[in-house]
Amino acid sequence: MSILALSAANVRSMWRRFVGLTALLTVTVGVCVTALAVSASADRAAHDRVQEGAANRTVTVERAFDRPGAQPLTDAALRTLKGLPHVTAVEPRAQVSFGYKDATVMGVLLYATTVRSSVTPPIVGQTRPDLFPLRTGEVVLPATSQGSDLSTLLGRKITVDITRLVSSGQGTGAQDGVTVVGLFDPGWQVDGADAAYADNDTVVEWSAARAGVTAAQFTANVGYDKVSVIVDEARNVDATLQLVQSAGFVGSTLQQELSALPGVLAMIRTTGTLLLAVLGLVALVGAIVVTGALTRQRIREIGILKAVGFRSAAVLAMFVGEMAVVGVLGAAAGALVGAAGAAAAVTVLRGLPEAAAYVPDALPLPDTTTFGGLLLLTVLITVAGALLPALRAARLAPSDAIKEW
Amino acid sequence: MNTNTDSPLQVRDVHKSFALHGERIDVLRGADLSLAAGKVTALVGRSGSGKTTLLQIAGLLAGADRGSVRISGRDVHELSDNRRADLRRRSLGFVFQAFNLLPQHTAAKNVALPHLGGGRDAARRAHELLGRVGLGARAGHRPGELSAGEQQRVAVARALVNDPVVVLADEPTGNLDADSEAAVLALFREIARDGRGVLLVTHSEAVCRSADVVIRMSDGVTVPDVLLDSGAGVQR
Repeated sequence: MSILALSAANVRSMWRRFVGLTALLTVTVGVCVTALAVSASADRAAHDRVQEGAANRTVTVERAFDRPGAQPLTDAALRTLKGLPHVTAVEPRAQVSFGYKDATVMGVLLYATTVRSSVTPPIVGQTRPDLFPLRTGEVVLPATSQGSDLSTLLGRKITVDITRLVSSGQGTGAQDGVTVVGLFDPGWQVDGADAAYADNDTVVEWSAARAGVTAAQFTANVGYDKVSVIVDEARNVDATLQLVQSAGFVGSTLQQELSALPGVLAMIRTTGTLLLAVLGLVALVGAIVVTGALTRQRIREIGILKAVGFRSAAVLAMFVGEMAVVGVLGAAAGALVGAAGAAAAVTVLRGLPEAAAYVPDALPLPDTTTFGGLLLLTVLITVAGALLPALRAARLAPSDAIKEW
Repeated sequence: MNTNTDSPLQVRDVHKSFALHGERIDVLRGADLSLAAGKVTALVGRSGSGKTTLLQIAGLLAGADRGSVRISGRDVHELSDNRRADLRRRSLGFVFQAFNLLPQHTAAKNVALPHLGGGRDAARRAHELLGRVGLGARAGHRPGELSAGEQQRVAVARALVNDPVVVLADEPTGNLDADSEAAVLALFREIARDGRGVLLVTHSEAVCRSADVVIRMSDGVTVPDVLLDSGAGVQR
């Protein structure tokens, strides 16, 4: 029989004495596994939804008027960009000014902007459920702009003022009719403070008029203001950016759409970390208290073992081994409890609107490294807790331990 | 006094004192002890005479303030705790009045305990010894499932598992009825016939009668050996 076998046999024989500590460890590990599982799942969900979101997989290519050799963003350029490795889509972007004024609106100057399907504005009013993609002759305006309330225009066909180039440096006013199909939150200024959104054909037509060319000539020769190049995975964005720049375009990447997890999930992660620390401390104290108590109850046993020739190190190893066995049992039971806790937590979180989107369908569990690390930590804490009282026990002189011969 | 240099256990001029409530108590004041191989020696004396302390020192369970202890001729004074533990395991066997078996383990595991790491050899030896003390069929029983006499026989088997040169026992029959006492004493005589030195600390007249040598202790000193006819109870 080895020391470890002796420890295991002791735990098996005296399991009632170890029930309290095992239960403590089970609860501790269970709570930690639950918190870590939900947190890890939220991380994965956030990664999928934010890190791998289209906005974060975008390289923005701009028309550089003042850069020698920079290519215009024409139809040919779009084909070049679309053909680059890892590129899944290209979204041309143009912006052109237009004005509107009536009896209720004092006069606003807005910029008709092409809509990026990857970054749509937050809608606060709409005439139909699915606004995007916009149809020809449709616009979405900010609910308010330049001190005017534009919400009254929702659902109406309005006439706007645009500019048409008639000769070099000379333009003239023109009018066009569009329908206001939606309103967006004016706080959304990703495309500029006075942006409005219109369908691609309308923006291109107005831009062509402003340049004094036809729409076909505009896309073939003049080109768009910007192009959003959508990459397949976030990790390929940098490589694609280099390819875009090597091809003679001016490109940059968008900042992450979001840099942090939603508050509730961040709270769960923080809580999980705190619980891990607090419960780890509780487990340590529990291990010390229980091992100390067990040691006091077993002083005679220590004396017997030393009398029959056990070295102090062997007695120490036996006590530590017992705690290691208890630690493994507690950690294993805690893992099961934690899995059940995670399932329950997920059920609760699905009921919270701000968190529901980040809650996975499958049972969340921490990754293997986290899981293994937690189990190892539990065993180490338990063993560490046992070390001091076991050391004290091992140092007892046999004659002190066996008082009654 | 037996001064045989081949003695498996020799204790010479051992002193030991304790402090109790600020007062010094001299428990041993120059005690001598020498066991003869192949003989049962009884150590007798009143309570408080120092028998148990002498036994603890002789068994390397406690240290002496002064004096020497030799086991198989080797002075143990300078030995480290680990060396003393090794010597206890290899050369000494203990039998306690209260049996001191580990209640969580079976009789076989209790017997094999000093043979930790011995694997199958230890298990085989434990079963062999249990058979020798008449408990071969009870190897899988725990101490709580055995009678007092049976528990003491398990303790005797444990004392023999590492084939020691000396077996030390303190009141080994103190908790036994007359039949069990006779059986255990017979075992000790059998152990002595193997060539071991056996020391029994006792108050029992029956134990004294079964001993080859009787040593009396009084006020921390041993009086010269009194040799008895084995089992006859007559002073030689």
